[in-house]
Formats: sequence, C-alpha cells, structure tokens
Amino acid sequence: MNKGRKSRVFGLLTGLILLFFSTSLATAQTDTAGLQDRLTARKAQLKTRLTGAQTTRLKERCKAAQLIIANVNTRLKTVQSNRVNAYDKIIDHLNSLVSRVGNQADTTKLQADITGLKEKTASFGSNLTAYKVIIDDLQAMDCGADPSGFKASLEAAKSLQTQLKTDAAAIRAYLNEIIKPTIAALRVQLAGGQQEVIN
Amino acid sequence: MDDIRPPRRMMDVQPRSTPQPVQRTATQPVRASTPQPSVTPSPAPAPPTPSVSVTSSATPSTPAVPATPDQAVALTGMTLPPKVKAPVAAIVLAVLVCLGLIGLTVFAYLKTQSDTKSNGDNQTTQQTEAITPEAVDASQESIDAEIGTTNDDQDFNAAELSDESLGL
Repeated sequence: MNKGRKSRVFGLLTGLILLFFSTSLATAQTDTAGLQDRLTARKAQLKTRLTGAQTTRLKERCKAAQLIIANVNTRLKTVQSNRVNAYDKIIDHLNSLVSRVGNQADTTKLQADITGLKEKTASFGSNLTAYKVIIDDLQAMDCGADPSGFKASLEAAKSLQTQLKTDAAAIRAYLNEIIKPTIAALRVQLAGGQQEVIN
Repeated sequence: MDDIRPPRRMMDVQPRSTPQPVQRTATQPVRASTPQPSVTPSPAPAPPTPSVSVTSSATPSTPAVPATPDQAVALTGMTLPPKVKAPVAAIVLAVLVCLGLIGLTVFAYLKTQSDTKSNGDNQTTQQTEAITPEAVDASQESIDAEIGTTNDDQDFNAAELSDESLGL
C-alpha cells in the first residue's frame, strides 16, 4: 500500500473517529443542556425556598444521598422492565382471548375494556418514564453546585412516585373490577352456547 | 528508416503560462506565446494549428508527440503516480462482512415472518375450534399470574426517597 493510499485511509479513519466523538460530544452537550432546563423548570415549580442552613446541610450530605439514589435507580430499571412486560402480556392475553372467541360470543364489551386498560397503562408508562428521568438527573447532577435543583428534583421524584403508585393501584382495580367480570360474563355466554349445541 | 510521426493534435497542446522550450522540426512552425499587454485588452492569440509532417529524412532524436507515458515523463520531467495495487484482502474482508450482515438481516426477517405466520396459524386454528369455558378460565389465570408478579408497595416505596433514608 503506497503512501498516498495510506494517507487517504488514515485521513478517512481520523475523520470517522472525529465525527463519532463530535456526535457523542454534541449528544452529551444536549443532555447537559436538557438537564439544566429540567432543573430550572423544577426549581420554578418548587414552592418552598431553601434557607441558608438548609442549603449548607444539603451541600454537605447530597453526595452521599446520590449513592443511595444510584441503588434506587438500579432497582427502578428492574421495576420498569417488569411492569411494562406484565402489562403488555396482560393486554396480549386479552387480545388473544378476543381473537379466539371470535363470533362465538359478543366481545364488544371486552374490546372496549381492553381499550380502557391500554389508556391506563400508557399513562402509567409515561409517568414511569418521567420518574426515571428525574432519578437519572438526581444521580447525575452536581448537587453541591445546585442544592436547590437537587431539592426540587427530589420533591418532583417523590410526587411522581406517589402518582405512579396511584396509577398502578388503578390498573389493578380496573383489572379486578372491570375486566374480570367481563371475562366471567363471556364465559357464561360460551357455556350457554355450548349447552344449546348439546341440547 | 522512415519514421511516421503521428499528427500533432489540438488536445495534445497544453496551455502554458510561461514560455517553455518547444520541440520543433524544420518542417513544423512553432508559435511562441506572446505576453499580452496589461493596459489594452487584445484578443487571445489563436491556438497553434495542427500540422502533419511526414519526413523521410533523418528522424529527430526525440519524437514531437511522446508515444508512451514513459516518454512523456522523460520529456516533461513530470512523475506519473505510482502504480497502486488494490488492497485485495481489505476489499474481500469488507465484502464478506457485508454479506454476513445481509445474511443476518435476512435470517432475522425470515424468522420474524415464520413466527408471525405460526402465531397466525395458531390463532387461525384456535379460531376455527370452539373455545371452551375452561380456556377462558386459563386466560383469566394467566392474567392473574401476570398482575401477581407486581407489588405496588415494594415497587413504589415512598420510604426509599425520604430524607431519613437519603441521610439529608
């Protein structure tokens, strides 16, 4: 390979590497800018302001708190995956049931209930994603430099966690109080139809 | 020996910015480029007209038009780019990698299609068969099992973000 071709290949590789790093740097800068925007928005929503003593205390202890939040974040990834999979499988079971019943019984009610369930699980998924973002920010931010941002993010995380628990309970109640009775009624229809066939 | 010179073609005439020594013969008139005055514009000099000359007399030591690139190199002092050997191994490797990726993609697509078709076949088969109440019960149990894998109190424990837990 002559020198000319070597230099061209080297130049091409260098260009690709520079492009990769510049893209990564741009992404990182975008994430940093997004983090600052989110912190600013949360600080604006924070109703209470930190006193001087609270600020000092937070600066001293926030780094240790971030280590604990890192463990929370690790567990949250598992929770997020398990929850989303569970809800998706439930919806798949219900859709499969509708397909299998076909014309043997009226599945209109069940289909409407499935739509309602999808709306609830989608709302839950959005809130869960937003919660994950806050936990990521709490772990990644420079809490010593911005204790009020840390406090605001922590309050936002607590609020969203409460909302998630409410959403999960609502989904569970919907399954138990709406969908299960619909499936039971469907079973009765199918059993009655089979009885007619036997008779 | 007779030497038949190829005709001097227009495309062989290179534009020159500075006058350069010109290979001439007794039968070929050569026009040297004249510098244009900077003040008054004047029409550009006409390009030298090609002329064909066939002589039966003694040939010049160097031909007017080089027959081979090597002769052109000798005349003009320019250097040809060195002959480049294609990196065969790199090309072959790149082609093999591309083929492998294409194969993987096709395999994944076919597998997806076969899975979809088998699911569709299963559903079609199940649809044609009458579903029993026991099958409905089984679906209900599957749903209960899935919701049972979640624990709202554990998954969203308020204590894990409390100030006491975080040491704040």
